[in-house]
Amino acid sequence: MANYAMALEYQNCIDCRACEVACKDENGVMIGADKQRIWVGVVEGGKTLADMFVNFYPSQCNHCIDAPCVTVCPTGASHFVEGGIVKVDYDMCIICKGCMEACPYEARFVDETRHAVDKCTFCDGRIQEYGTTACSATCPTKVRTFGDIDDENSDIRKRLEGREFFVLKENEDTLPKLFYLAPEDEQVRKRTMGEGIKLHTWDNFAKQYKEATAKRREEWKEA
Amino acid sequence: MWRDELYKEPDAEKGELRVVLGRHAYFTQSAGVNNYLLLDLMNYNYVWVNDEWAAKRGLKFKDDVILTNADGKNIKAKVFPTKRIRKDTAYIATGFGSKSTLLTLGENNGISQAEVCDNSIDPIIGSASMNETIIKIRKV
Amino acid sequence: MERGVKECCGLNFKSVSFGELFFNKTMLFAYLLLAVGVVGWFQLYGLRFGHEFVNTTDLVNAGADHSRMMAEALKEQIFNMHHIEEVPRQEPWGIFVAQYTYLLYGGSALIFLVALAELIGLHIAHKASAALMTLGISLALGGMASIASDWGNPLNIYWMILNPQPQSGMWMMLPLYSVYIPFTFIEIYFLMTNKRELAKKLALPLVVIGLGIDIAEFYIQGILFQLNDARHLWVDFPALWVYFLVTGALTGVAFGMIYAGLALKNKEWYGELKDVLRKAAIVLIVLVAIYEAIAGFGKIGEAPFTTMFYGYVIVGLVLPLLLFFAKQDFLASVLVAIGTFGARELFVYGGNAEPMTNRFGMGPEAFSTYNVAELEKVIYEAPHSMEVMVIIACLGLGIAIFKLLDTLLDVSNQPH
Repeated sequence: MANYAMALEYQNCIDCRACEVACKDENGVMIGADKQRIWVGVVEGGKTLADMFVNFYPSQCNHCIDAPCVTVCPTGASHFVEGGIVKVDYDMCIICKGCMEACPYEARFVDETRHAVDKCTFCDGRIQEYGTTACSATCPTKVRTFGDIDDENSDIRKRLEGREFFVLKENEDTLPKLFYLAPEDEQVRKRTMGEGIKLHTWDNFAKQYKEATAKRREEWKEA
Repeated sequence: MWRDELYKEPDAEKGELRVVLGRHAYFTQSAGVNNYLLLDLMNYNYVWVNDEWAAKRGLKFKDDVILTNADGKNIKAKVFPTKRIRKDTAYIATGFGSKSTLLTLGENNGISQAEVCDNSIDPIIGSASMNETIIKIRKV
Repeated sequence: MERGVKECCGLNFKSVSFGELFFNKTMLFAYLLLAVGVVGWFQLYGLRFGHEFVNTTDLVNAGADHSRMMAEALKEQIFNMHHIEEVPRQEPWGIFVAQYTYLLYGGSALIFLVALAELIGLHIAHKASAALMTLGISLALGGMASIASDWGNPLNIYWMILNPQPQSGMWMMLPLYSVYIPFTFIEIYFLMTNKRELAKKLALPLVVIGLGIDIAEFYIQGILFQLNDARHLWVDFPALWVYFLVTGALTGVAFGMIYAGLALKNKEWYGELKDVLRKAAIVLIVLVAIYEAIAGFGKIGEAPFTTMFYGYVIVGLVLPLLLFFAKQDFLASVLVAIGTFGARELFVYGGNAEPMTNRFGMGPEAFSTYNVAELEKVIYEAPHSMEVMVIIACLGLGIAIFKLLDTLLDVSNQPH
């Protein structure tokens, strides 16, 4: 059975925001400044014009294996589906915003047109038909690699096995599935990576994920 | 061939800045001025000024300023102080501020760079010289 | 049987006219507060269900035939989103949750204290327990109105019953309050009933079970806040449920003192009640002060949280302590009531103060190139005016419920 994840080569991101536009257009998202399922986070670094840099972090829901947003939902609207994707059932959501409080990544927002809390769904429905998400399909610099981490021959496994990567807010123990590939250049790493970020390789990471997935897999509802 | 006498230097202390034009990766020419998907990403083109220059004049993000170009036209704008630009330069993104009243989202939604910039013509190629405008900025 | 009293099922109902029941001074005051809330509720639900919002599917389907309203909605959403959105993504829980914690924990802790007083056999408990317990449950019901207003789409609430989620602290509130509210009314019944023999036999078991359910309630409320892994103010708080119990007890005692000062002045046990409440308040203020010193709310060292913290400490703890020692009980209680609301605001907003966008260890991230200039070190979004109006009404609802029960049952005259 599939377990979908995404690997992000965020150094390639040029802040063109084609992914944001593709996501909104594909999924019928509400128009509005922070009503975004996926977004590019912008951080400025450096002190003077000479050593300034800007980091672009393409971000979205991490579809965590141990998602805290699924644990706290009182009606079960927030649930897992096949592929390890976290989704919201719009007919069950009471907009209590408990999931928004539980999410460490600020990935959820209230979509007024759907009367529910909404977030990235890894284009569930589109991936079965077209093989990849809207944002991955449109990215001009190939930042995103979407795929099944249980399939040894998938692109994402090949990328992850060859590189060091990190995940966000690891100490929250949510086991996110958005893997950010670390820059290969030492200098760039020193300048642009924050404190306390642990790098992993697929070998030492896979076991932990397999165990956690096996525990939660029974909750994954059929599509 | 570079001729020094043709170069006008803006006097940043007196509030004169050279305007350079450019685009963002997601907002290019004026065809996007009425496009809701693009305006969703950015809905106003702020004037970039150097943050130390702005701090000296008490300007913060989204403060109103008046730009006066060489023809004496006054244009109202909002300012974005940042480290990413020189002290004697201001940057405006193109593609905003259409004057057409038939556009729902595009009418007057930002600064129209065509209004700000001089009508100088490049003597060799004959096209518009975009980066030669010197404007005076003052706080409202 | 006294004149003007009807007995039914063991309770003595006062026979009152329609005007006395619904139009006495307290009810009129409650109606005033509720009227403010009606305006707020109208605006709130108007925004949620009546306001036109568009998404990309609507616009694509409309094609060239989009209406004037869609165009206006589009303009509003693109240029003015901040003014029409109800819930910003960085501040999901706001003043509704603060009011809910304030009234619910205040009411429940008051019930807890009354049950405790019954258990240890305080003399005043025989006289005042029914009144204070009724006050407690009325406040708790007012608090629930606040959280019900917070739900953006309450039509789907029946899924909580059809689809139980026992791992969720919020779902556990359903079985908890389904038991707690009827149980409290049963306790009040046995305090007021004419069947004194049965009441005396059941007194001890009821009180002990009541204390147990109350502690379970605070424990579940603590879990509710602590399941949110990312909000470190709540997760790292030592024994959060004890904090809720102690601060709630302080709120409850303050409301009890205000009620006594307004309605019980002519009772012969008024002085004794005031003494007990005053002593309880002083002990609780000291306990809360110790808790604040250990847990250190002052940790969020940025405005407006520092102002909130010092305001709450001075208005809610320091000044009332001095006033209680000077026996100015009513004024001290009003200050405590205001101060503990500030404590709840600080707790709820403080949990959201740390920006969740700091995900890469490089500081908070902006959504776009220009928003970089707007990044804040702490998140604070002021509540909308309609939300403030609704929470005023929730207090009014609590007062109205209490006054209705009091007029019908005369809770301050319980048989002993």
